[in-house]
Amino acid sequence: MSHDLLIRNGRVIDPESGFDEVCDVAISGDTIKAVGADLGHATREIDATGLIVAPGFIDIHAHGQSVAADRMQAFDGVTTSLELEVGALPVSAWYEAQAQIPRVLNYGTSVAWIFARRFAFGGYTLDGAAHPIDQLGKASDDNSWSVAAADGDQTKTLVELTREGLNQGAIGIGIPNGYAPGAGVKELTRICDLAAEFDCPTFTHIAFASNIDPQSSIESYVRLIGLAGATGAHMHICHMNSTSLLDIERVVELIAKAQAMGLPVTTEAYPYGAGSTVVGAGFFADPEFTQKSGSDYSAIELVKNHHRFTGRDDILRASDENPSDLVVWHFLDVEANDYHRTLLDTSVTYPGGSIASDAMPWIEPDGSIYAGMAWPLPEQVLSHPRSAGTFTRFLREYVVERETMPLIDALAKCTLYPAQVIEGRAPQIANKGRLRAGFDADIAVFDLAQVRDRATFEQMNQPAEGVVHLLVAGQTVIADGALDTSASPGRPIRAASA
Amino acid sequence: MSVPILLVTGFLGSGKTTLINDLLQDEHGMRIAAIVNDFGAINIDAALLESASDEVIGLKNGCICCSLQGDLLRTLKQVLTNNAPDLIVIEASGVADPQGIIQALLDPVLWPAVLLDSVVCLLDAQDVIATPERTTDPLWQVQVKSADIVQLSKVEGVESKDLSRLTLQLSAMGKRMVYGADGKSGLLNGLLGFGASSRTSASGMPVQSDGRFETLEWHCKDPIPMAAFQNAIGAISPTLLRAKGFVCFMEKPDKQMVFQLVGQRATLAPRTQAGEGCALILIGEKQVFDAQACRAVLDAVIK
Repeated sequence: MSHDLLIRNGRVIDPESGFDEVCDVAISGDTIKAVGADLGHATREIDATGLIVAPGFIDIHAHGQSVAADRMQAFDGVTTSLELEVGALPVSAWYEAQAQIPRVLNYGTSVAWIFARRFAFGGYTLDGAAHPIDQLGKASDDNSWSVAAADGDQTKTLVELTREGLNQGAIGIGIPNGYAPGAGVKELTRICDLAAEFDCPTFTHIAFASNIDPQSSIESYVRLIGLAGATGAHMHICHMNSTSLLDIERVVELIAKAQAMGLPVTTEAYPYGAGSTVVGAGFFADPEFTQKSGSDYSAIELVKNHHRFTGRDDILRASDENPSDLVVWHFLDVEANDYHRTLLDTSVTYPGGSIASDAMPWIEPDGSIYAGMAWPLPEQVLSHPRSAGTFTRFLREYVVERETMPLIDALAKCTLYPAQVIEGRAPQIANKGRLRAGFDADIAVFDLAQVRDRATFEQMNQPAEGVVHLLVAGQTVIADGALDTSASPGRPIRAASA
Repeated sequence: MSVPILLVTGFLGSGKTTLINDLLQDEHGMRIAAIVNDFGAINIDAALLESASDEVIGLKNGCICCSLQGDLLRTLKQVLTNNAPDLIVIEASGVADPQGIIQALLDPVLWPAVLLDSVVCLLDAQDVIATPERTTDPLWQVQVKSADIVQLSKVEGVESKDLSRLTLQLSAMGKRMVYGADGKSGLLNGLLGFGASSRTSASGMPVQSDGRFETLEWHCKDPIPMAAFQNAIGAISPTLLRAKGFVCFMEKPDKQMVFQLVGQRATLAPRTQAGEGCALILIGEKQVFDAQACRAVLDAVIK
């Protein structure tokens, strides 16, 4: 039997079955035909000796959505790149516009609740073909769509528009609540009713990112968990790392409990540290404080009233009462403080949680989104480094350097888990994220020892290293570390009903 | 070294643009780039500032607190390309909570290039005294709370007892650095100079002041315990206006940190260049700041 392509002698890993062996992979057309030894002859061969052969990564939080963004993500191991947190509206127009672009990676969108909301509040024109990030950033003199609660009529309008988007095949509903914190629970229950009716996931950027009640991150997460329980909607939490701040340990306790009770709640994170703020005594709250500092709590005096603390509980109470009484500490980068690294780790290594990039579009110096085809990317275009390095950075730091988890578990976070978030709604995805006979030939072949992100603020458009070959639908995107600039195998991912 | 950023916040009409214009025209010898964040489609503030400097850039996407982080990233990149300025001034929208910008500026990715130095809130003294309910406006409150330094504007014609009451009210909100009651912005400029002129080393930093400030230099060749250092800073910060320099902690003895303190806000970030030990410069107002007592507190950290 003759195949189109044979990937020979690589370490083949399938996170779902636990398969992890050095063997061959045979591909014909867009499908994996066989995995094992002696698979027969093929028209073309790739020698993968010493390399990992894994399912291509599925990024369920990617705002790039352009050829340039696809190519940069290809070097990060990504084969499917989905705009789910913001989304598009109308959805059909978005897919039609994408079909005109030689997309490299598989693409798809959710329906944009937030644009339905802007429309319902008036003075806003829907444009499904426009880039969602441009649409979101469109200036308006009246920002009530962001800060105000919707009335009955507005709610009705925005729910109907969202329903249309689902009818047009949207993968889920984007709920970037953080950009419209005025949206109330009554409105959101209606949106979540829709999600339950269509059996599709919702993707939430929580309303509030703060460690202080009211309007804390915890309040937002509990509201989201409540929506899952009260409406039955699948609530996916976007970038848990960036919105939980210092409360991440409490956040994962609550989410784990909700999940244990069977509620449909899932999570994602990216491995970039946020500058963290320790309000008041947070840093002193370290149980090993006295040991580490060699000083007793009584050595700490509250400036305001010269109160000397009696112990950890005392200082925590004071910091809760009035955090502004104490110095506020900002730690830039997890390098500055081990505790902050632990906090980031808690998000990134959360069991069952996906890795997702929150990749931003590549923009020109004038702020317009770069839609060109130049490769390498032009010097002047820029985007956040995570748009080019999320997955390779995760593998480098969490698997290679710090050995926080086995490679197969790390790969599950990049492939299987994100697939499981959406495959109930988008059946095409059920054929992805696995590396076995019969599944789609979306494959990343990488050198684990070499894999690393290279993008920095100084040089944002440096592609990641270590991905040697990348296939999308059996077609070559990267071969021997070089991009095939003619490759455009990306396909639309949509709901079955479309 | 990172270029320091001054973030200017304040209510609509509080004098942010005037302050930035003054800064741009002041003969301090610093190259300043201004970034203006107007809310709405027309960039009026950018147009107003245009005459003062060719380094004025308007943020395109309205309100950056709606976190179009790409826009801030792009603008900073634009400002830093070619000949990087000595100081970047960002004017926050008068109708926005500056926390969005502060959060965006705390992205570690930015750190090797830029570092948030101080947040200044402009406060229209006439307005607050004539309209006391202003102080209960949540937006006004978040703007003042975010600030390291409060600069009063429009103090002409305001009675001194009213000004004292206002200063007291601000101090109850934890604001100790309140300037401009004398109608000048000189003290503010002095403190900004402290941040901007100290880019290469902690020692020998020229401090521009009008004689009201006292400074202390403190050195230590060995790493110090992190929590004890935080403890010491917590203890001396009420008498300090600013502190800046390099510290090396026993927890990470091979890596120096850049330490910055403005008012009650301290920042720690990894230093990009190699270096050893600790070197700090601290500044306070003469009648409050006891340099020798402060030195003793820091010396105790070593033991």
